Amino acid sequence: MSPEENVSPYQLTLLLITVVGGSAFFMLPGGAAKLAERDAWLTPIIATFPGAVAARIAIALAHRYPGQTFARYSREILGKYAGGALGFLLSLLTLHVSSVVLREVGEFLVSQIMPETPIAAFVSCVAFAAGYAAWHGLEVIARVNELVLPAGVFSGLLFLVLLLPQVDFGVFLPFLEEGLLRAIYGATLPTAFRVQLGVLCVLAPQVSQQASLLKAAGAANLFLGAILTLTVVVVVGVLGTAAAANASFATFKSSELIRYGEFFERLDAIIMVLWILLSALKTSILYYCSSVLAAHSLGLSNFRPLVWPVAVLSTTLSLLQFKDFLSLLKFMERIAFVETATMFVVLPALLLLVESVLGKRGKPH
Amino acid sequence: MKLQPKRPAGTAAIVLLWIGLQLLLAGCWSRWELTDIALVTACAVDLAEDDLIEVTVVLEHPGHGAGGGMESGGKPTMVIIDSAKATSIHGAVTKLATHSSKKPYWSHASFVLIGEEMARHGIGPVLDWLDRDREPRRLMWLLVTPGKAKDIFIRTTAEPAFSPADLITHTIRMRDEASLALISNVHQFSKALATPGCDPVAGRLELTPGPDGALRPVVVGAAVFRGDKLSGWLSPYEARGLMWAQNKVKGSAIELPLATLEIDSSRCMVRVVRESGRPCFTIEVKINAHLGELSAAADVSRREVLDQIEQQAAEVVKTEIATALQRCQKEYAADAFCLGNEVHKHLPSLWHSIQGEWHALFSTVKVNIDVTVRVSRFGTIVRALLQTMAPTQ
Repeated sequence: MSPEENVSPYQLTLLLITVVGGSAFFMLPGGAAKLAERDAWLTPIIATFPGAVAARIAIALAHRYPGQTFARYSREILGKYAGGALGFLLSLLTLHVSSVVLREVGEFLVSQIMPETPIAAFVSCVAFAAGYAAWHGLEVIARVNELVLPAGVFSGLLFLVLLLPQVDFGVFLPFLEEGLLRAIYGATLPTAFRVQLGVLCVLAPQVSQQASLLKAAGAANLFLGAILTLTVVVVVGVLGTAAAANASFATFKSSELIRYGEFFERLDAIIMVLWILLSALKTSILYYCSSVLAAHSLGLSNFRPLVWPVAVLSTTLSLLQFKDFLSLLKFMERIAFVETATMFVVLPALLLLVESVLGKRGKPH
Repeated sequence: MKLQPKRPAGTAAIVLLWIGLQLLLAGCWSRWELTDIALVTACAVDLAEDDLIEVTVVLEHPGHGAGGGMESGGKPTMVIIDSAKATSIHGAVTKLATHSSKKPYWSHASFVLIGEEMARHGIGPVLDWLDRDREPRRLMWLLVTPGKAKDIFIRTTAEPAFSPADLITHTIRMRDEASLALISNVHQFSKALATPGCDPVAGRLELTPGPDGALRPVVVGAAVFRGDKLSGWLSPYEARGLMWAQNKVKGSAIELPLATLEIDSSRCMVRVVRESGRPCFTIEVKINAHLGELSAAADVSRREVLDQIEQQAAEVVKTEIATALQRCQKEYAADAFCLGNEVHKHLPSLWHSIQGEWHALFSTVKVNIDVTVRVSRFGTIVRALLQTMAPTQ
């Protein structure tokens, strides 16, 4: 714990929005259209519930073990070895999520913007920026995020508003044709993004007012629900279900349809800039979480020596783990949900359960 | 305890960073400067012999030569028409690039023109390439022409100040004046193609000789597809019939014996109900118009004359919609009105039982057409000019 590192509840809200929205804004509409078809717009609304659960569990644990991260209290609850292993596992999975985020932005840039540039160039640039920010600690990330995210949200909203007149609400009819189950199945994808609110289990101790944790996380969750629903409505409503589901990057694909008059067009650059910025920020938060978790599960007091190893591993992993774009898509649609739900809902919930059964309590700091 | 972030290791770090940044100054890997590219402003796709696909492009070399496009009064833009044949669109496009002194750049292409033979053969491959490649945009207009598409570029002689591609682009821009040509872009076409119970429509382009004998490309009528294959054409007034139903009429003239009306706005609603296991449709069109021209015989100060004009106009519009529908139903069996999609949207259970045989059913479904026209404004004068004449002795 570094008492001088302090993040305000407002900054925490912004960090959580970046962690989820930083990739969901770009990757969600196409995947949701594929999984839930015409009811894709419902899926971000449904995903609000698992998001709330993930945040609630992390906050419950944070309140019982004030000032401690997941890796520290898991050692207290499960003992040095089992608890340490659990914390280390979460660190590795967080590292893996960051490698997927890198690969998404890399694939996007190579396939849509600059096909002659090797993907390693993009991935390592973003990873370097993220690692640099993470090395300076959460407070620095929070401040950069506080500068960048509002501008990002503004341009993202501008993009959506410009497309709004072209939205054909007819594409969402008939409503729930294949039943609510199909929509819930489709909601696995937005859930995979939304439960990442669970990074609270590392960030919580750094927040200045512990009492406002719930409010800050709730605000982030509701805001994400609203903006992601709007994004899906606009992107799918403009492209149509079939084209959105078939597009490699649906949000980006819809940007080529913006045209006002004969001159106001080609706004794809907005999406490109946003994607690079937000994924760098998201990756830096994940690097921070991964190295803090690793440090605390190994009983180290300082996470900094671990930041660059995490960054290098995540860069390498992002380049090696997917054979091609299709395997990345398949991972996002099928496995990402299982991975993130395990990380941020199942494991913390089990920990909370064991804690209540054994009645262990951390020493108040 | 946490370590303080280290101070940058002094000059070494700064020098390294400075050297690193120099590398970025050269620009990015995949860059193409304006002087290295030729803009594809339009392309034509034809079916050639042996099932080959022939792609013809209109290339513009902006301010070709050393000066660059920035110089006013520099060298004029050079227009080149070139073509290549291959078994696929992408293959032909890459061959074309090897003919050219500059890299053809597709993002500014404003339309793609399909020859009739190619259109009847199926344009799925064209759409796939246009949508898959990262340069062409979904907003490109999609036009079909009777005969060979490349002939349009070669034989156009009107307005030589424009390249044929620019001339057609300008023509397309003026279509809303008369609304006698239905136009759709690649995006709208692909969307209709992917919608259940919907067949796509594209624009129709032809060369028309002017009074001076110059051949002028004109967009007029429409091309009706079934799936990705051309079924047939709609005449200008049939095209307007379909446009009323698709809410695409922006401005147009309805010519009647007593007056000519100019359209201000038109709204169409399609309703569907289930009638003994079959869908039954009502196409409801509401039109606001003003007087464009008035014959001396009409005295608009009397309400019943105005009513009569409104009724005649409604009748004309109704006939246009009915003729277009008739042609789509009986001749082409292509649901350009997207009636099937209305069934899917509003009566999903009925749709599931009929979707397999929709095209056959479409030819026989009952459609009521209900048109209301309101003439609410008169232009800058009210009564017919001849009626204001002083009575002659």
